Amino acid sequence: MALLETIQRKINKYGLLPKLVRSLPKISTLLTLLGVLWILMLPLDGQFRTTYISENALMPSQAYSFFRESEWNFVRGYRDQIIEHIDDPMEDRHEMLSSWMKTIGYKTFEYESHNGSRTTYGIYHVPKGDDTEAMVIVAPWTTSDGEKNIGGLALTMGLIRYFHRLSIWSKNIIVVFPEDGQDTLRNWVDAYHTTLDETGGSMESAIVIEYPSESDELDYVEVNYVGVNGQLPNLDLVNCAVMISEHEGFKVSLHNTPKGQLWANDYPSRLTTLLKGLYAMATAGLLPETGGGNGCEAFSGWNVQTLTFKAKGTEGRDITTLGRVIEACFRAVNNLLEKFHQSFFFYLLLTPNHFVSIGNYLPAAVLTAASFVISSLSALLTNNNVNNKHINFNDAAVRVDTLPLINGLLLFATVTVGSIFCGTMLMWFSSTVSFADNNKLYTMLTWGLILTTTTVSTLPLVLRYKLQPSAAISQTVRIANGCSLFYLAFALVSLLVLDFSLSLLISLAAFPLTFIRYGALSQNRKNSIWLILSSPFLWLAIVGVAHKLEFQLDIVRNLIQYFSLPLLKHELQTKIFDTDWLNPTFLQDVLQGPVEIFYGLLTGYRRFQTWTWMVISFAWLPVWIMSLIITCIDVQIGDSEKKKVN
Amino acid sequence: MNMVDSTYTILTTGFIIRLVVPALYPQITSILDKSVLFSTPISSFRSLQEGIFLLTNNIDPYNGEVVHFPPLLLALFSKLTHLNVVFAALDTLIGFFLVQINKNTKYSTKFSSRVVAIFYAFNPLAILSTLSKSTTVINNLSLILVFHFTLQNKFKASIVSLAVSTYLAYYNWYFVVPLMFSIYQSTRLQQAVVRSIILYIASISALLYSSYILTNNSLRFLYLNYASVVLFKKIVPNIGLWWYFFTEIFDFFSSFYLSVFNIYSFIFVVPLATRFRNDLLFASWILAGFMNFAKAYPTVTDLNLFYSMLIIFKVYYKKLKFSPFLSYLGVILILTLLPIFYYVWMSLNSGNANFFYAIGLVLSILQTIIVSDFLWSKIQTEYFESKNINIDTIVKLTQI
Repeated sequence: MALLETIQRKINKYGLLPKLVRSLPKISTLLTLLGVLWILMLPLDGQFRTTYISENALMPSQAYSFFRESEWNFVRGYRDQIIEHIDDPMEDRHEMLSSWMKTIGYKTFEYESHNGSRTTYGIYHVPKGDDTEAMVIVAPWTTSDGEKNIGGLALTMGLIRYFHRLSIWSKNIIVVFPEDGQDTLRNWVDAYHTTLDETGGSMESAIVIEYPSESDELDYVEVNYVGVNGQLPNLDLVNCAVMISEHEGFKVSLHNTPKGQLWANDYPSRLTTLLKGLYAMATAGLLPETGGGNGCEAFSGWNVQTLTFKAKGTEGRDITTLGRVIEACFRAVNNLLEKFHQSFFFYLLLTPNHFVSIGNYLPAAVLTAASFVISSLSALLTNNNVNNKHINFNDAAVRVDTLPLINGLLLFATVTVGSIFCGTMLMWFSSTVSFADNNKLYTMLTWGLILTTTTVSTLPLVLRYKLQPSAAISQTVRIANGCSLFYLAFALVSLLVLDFSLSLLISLAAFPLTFIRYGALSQNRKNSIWLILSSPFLWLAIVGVAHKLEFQLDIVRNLIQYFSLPLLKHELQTKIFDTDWLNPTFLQDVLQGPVEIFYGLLTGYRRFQTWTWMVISFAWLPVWIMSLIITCIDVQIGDSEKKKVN
Repeated sequence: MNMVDSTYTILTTGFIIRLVVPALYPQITSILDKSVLFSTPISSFRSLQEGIFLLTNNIDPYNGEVVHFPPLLLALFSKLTHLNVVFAALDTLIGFFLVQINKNTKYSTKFSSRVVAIFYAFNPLAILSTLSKSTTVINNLSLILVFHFTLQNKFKASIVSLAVSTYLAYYNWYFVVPLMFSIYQSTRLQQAVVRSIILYIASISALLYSSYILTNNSLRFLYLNYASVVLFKKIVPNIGLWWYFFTEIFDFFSSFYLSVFNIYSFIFVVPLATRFRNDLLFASWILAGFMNFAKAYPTVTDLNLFYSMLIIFKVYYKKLKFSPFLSYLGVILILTLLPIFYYVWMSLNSGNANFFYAIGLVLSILQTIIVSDFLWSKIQTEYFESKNINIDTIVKLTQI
């Protein structure tokens, strides 16, 4: 305290306080820059750690696996049957799988969700276990890329047949064959935890297999681990999967890293994986109505550690190798005596073998959120009113009269409640109006919102209506501005612990809001740029279009890392010039991107308990609208100039 | 419309809000009751309902370990219907007496009754506490009554209210000390104090004896109501400081920590009362604020008493380091963060007890700051008044 007193006295003595207050906007910008810098620092040597298995009991890859040639024959047999019947109606396919599983010795059931999607599942109540815990293996009929999961289904059948012969299991084995890895699987998981009668105990882990090709071989595996709302499986499970895969000779890819990059462990490649991971976590659970879910989202929120193995390539190691990887994962989880509790639940992976733990990366989002706290403080201390530029900061200048205070708070409260109401209404709308039948309506809604928000952002440029200058208006606007920024800051800080990536990305996207200054209407020109840049719907459009164009960060990284003109030319040629941008079907498909993402946003909570839309409509959107309103108000005098006018 | 009328209108509006919300959205009670902020095993609506259920089915509620309510309260609630109305009315009464207290204080500056009424009627903490239907609302009402009667020098009434209040919740006997000081201050008679103590003990004994008869001549309710609070029998996370120690430490330390925590919760009672003999309402209020982090099972409903009474002490706002607006904002922010951390720990399993306790600790630190800020402001104001210096003069006083 003594030190603080000394500092306070020094500040008073040299009259630093006004200067400090006037430089708050700069400090705010600096904090965001520091936050970005922090993220960029993470892939530097020394900032990250090598992964390790933290839980001793797991002991991955300690046993010799017999899932080899003899089992291969069974896999092939199942595969032939599956190829033959892949286009049968679901009932027949269910019958087929059920009869197979019954022959092996599994108890089989069918679950039909309220919307008619079906899931076949079987339970092996292991003789040695106490029937309270279970491990789940999932093979959806359709993969996340919309292909038929032929290899995955065959491999799963072969595996469960093989599992049944082993006597080592202490946890039940549940095998699930949903129609797809998103809504159908999610419905089944929800039902498993709430209404299903036939269960096998609490799920410790789930492994989803996607192997669309009919080939006998695969090249490398991609591991997906991102759940909704920033939830990740325990790092121990990811480490096990990576370690076992590498032990069996597979390279592991994360977030769709192309094959050429699997050997890379340099700064650009680590940064790329990190950024892709951040983006994947922030956008997890925003799934279109069909196709896209890889299974991790479906198990999210039920404390099931979930991984998806996606087989890539058609040449290299044989299919039983992947089987051995999954077997070893199951054995590792089987060894577990307690729940997964060691290791990390919050981490960012830089390569399959390197990670940053929460303590190291959290400050980045703390800094960017703090930038909003500072800018709200700056707004409350009258910095944002351009008329105050030449007034020296003092206590009198900061005073707010009661009426403007109440008006400002009421204005902000009305906007917030209105935005929350509209957000909720849209969610309700999406639950009653089906996407498939009303595609046009959704398209109009999405693009209407995108275009409207962009158009209204230019309002400050065209408004000419002048108000009678009064200090009350200045103060009301100041309170509304400061409170809205503080509200956003608080929402971002609360979100930090739950969903780091979403918090960070929103604070970066909404950052231009801190540049908003108000004054006489003729001075409000620049605000339009900041408003457009920070509009949630602009970002929706960008994310949607990038998603449809299959934007790959690795290409950008490649261009920068190995820069050469021919390479640039080649990439421009293939990606931009060779694309027929005006082709109507292509254009329509691209424009459909934001619509699908918007639908995913609106239905996210209902389908996957994804909060992203709530965060946007409860926190980001009201503050954006508030900023828009502020810039449309004609504020002609400073906050303390009451006497001069009257 | 005159002042009194508008006060009543505002309080009635508050009453209607407290009545309409649970009528429109009945799940709110169970949502709040499940939240860590509003319920502890000692005071939650759930256990009250369980007790009522046992009682109406002729099972002795005091046989198990579930019910921690005094028998008379339980008997009363088993007869009551329309609990929404009851709780809304009780909370509105708190608001009413808050207005009365504000009117009766002798402070030089204070808010008008209307402002106080608005503050309480639309206070989110108060509304949420009412909706949570925790019995702590009754406890708050009894304490407010004690303060109200003491201020009006109706000491017999205030002693009886305090006895009831002590009967309801263990910690309230601490307020005996400032009350006795008040009685001595106003009568200057030691006999009066002795008589008051006798009256207090007599009322408590009457209450306890009737409970003894009511529970078929068993004293087990004493253990369940009071001893289990003192001995911290139910180790359940809450917004206080106790639970973490008893979950984390070895068993053989627990008696040591029990005594430390219990002594700590009492330790400032006498010093506060002696130091602020001339303003015992303030002393009692500070005591209430102190108890919020020193007691075993605090809830937001407990906090509500302290933060609602904050509006009475406008006279001390001048010398505060942090304006009440800021501290109120801070408390609300932390109270919003607490359920998030609880969720990360309990539902997502990705955090652990440390996350939740850390943020609870921040809440407690914030409360200590607010309490000590008010203490320091009070001392300064007293100094200025005693030296006849204008309160706005800039004189730097330093704490020693």
